[in-house]
Amino acid sequence: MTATLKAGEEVPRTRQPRRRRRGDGKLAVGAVIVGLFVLAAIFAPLITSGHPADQDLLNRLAPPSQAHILGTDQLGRDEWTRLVHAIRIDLRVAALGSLIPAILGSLIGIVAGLGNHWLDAAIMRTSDIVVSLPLFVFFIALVGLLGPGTGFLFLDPGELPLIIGFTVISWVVYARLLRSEVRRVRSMDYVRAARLGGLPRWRVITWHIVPNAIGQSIVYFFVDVGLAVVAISTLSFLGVGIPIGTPEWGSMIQAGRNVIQTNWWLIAAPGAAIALIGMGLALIGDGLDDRIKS
Amino acid sequence: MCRSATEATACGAALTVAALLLSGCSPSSSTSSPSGSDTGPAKRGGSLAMSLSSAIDTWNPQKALATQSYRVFPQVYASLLRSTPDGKTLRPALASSYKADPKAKTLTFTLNPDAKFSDGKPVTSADVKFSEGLWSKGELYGGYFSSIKSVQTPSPRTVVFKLSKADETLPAVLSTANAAIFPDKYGGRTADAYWKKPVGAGPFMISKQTVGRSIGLTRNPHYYRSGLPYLDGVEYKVVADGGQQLLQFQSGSLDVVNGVELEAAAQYPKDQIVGAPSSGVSVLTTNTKSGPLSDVRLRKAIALAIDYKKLVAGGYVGEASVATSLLPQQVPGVTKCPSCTWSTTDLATAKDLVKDSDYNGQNIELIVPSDGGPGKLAAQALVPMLAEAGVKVTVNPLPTSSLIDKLSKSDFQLGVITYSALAPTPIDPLGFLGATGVVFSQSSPGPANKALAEVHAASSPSEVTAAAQAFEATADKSRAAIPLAVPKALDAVADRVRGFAAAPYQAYCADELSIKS
Repeated sequence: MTATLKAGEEVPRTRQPRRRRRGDGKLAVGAVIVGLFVLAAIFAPLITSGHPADQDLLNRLAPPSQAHILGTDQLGRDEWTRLVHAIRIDLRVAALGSLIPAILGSLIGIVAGLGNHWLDAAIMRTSDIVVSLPLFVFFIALVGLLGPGTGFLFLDPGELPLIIGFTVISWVVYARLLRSEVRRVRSMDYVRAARLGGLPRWRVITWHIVPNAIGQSIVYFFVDVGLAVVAISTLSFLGVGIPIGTPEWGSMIQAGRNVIQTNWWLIAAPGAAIALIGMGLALIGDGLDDRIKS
Repeated sequence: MCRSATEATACGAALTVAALLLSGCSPSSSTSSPSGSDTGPAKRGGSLAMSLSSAIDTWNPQKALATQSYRVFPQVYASLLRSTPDGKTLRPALASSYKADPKAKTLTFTLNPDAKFSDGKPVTSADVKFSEGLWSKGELYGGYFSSIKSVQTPSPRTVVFKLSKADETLPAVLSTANAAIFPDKYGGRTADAYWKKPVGAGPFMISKQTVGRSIGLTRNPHYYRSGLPYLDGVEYKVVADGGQQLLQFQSGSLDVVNGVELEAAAQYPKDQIVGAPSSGVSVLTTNTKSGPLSDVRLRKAIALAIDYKKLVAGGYVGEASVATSLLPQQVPGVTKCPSCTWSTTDLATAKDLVKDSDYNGQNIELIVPSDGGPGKLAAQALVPMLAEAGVKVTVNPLPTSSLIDKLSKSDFQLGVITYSALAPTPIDPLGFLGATGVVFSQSSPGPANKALAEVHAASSPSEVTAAAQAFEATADKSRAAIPLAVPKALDAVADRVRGFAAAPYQAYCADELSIKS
């Protein structure tokens, strides 16, 4: 049976219940976890007591109590305050250290995917060189070369060299992702049709190729932020990057090692924070990936 | 004699010690063990693993700065004399006896007939003469031997030191590793080849070394003390991290942790910690030649901004006392000078001085050793104290080797280091302060050298004290280096180790260590 529509007649919409899409659960859990961290970072002064650098040298290594819910560290600093303020540093550096290479790498990937053979080869061989750099050795050398600096715009000392390091290293992943996706998408029929339809090249790229190729990069971005948090903490643990004394999860773990047997929570709390934020970001990435694939 | 930057050590000789010299000096046969009792005869055999918080900087005692080097030297080298672990008594070593003649200004040593290098060659007067030539030429510690005019060798077993002046402190200086005896003409090797794997007359000899990681020592079969050492060998492992030291000690991978990090001390069983009053002093050193700290007003402001009691309680985790002098206050002859204002806190004056100074609020980098020593936590404790006075400081921990490099090249602004005396006399710390331009601050070494000469020439303890106080008064005015605290010297010793004795002057000889049966 067929139905014909008269001019001006609308197709009747059947009300369908909103269907849960694949990945919604992961996305929600991840968003809640990350959202809580972001809220804690924003409202840090309201949910903590004092400044993270405030020392009470006569009340060092105090156990958890009402006054200090996670106790105090070796210099009598409130561990909870430092833990919460560390979110600002870790998330800020990790987000910027992923966002800048994501933008840069995506642009390079698009150029490589659309460019001629020689340009593509040059970009890919450059990325091969970058991939071969040993990550931590490179960071240690870079931070040693640049020093902690005095801060830049809204960045504190030690943050800029890390962001530069992440940018130098991480753009490659985005470039490779975008390149392969662009090459796949540009041979799709609808792209050919758009070209044949006479659309200008820039419009084909911005309306038809990039939007359909960028999905995996967005998914990876969230995973990358989580990896960057772990990398920042690892570098701080090794004494590289964020200056000593700054509230940062890795350096908090490093400082807590000498008292691990009596004040184990000084390591457990920042360790749990790293694990949670990493899991939250990974869940968001995974959820987005499921959505794209479905 | 010796000292270092992260933990620097100094050595010298004391008038008080010289008076005790060699009276009835037979080798000591017992030292205290920190835990348990084991009264039977010491067992021969076995080996012990000990930690070093950083790699030794050189095998050449004339160039060594790191305290860790001076922990190893007594195992490989021997000197004419040796001191007891507490540093209070001198004993015969390669020299079985000596005679001082103040009128003739001579010091005559008779060498022990059993004294041999680890390659089996006997120690002769020619070796001593050759070694003295190396000591005197030493850029860092040559000044300690300035009273030696010449060395005569009337026989292979007799050495006569001709002195330019009576120097009662010299015998104690001769008990340190800076006065180690080396084979004449490096035993036929080149200097470079010798310093890569030296031969000494100490209880052990080098069997293997992995640069920056470990040093393996085996028993010297020709050691001059019959029946010693008890151990077959000693392995020094470089374990920079305090947490790692603790874990390796608990797992049995380390038998002795030399210089337990103060932060980690509470994690060790109390009966396995051996403490001694420290001959060290932690100092905040400044670059007086360039940068904001060339302004003495800022240096004074910094000194006045520090709450020393809180610093000791927090930065040194209570395992220290407030320093009252730039020279190690444990050293006999060092007392607080009456006019000095060390360890005084006056925040209001500090703020005024900061305002009056040329300091423009720029960030000042404070370097500290990252691999051992108490400086890292102390430096962090200093930051808010100085911030309150208006001085912005960030802490930069560096490996000891990099730290020493920066300090010696004056490529720094502020630094926290700990240096120690190796013998109970102001000679060593004064010599070290002079040789390092008062702990690398580039201030004039003149006052330290003047005091050193006065101590050398002193004929009574009161003259030594007067010389030390005169130096302190000058240092107090310049504030090139600011004494902070006197950290405790703590070692962790496993239950199976016998014969370990606390060594306040850092270096001890392991020839009497053994493993409990």
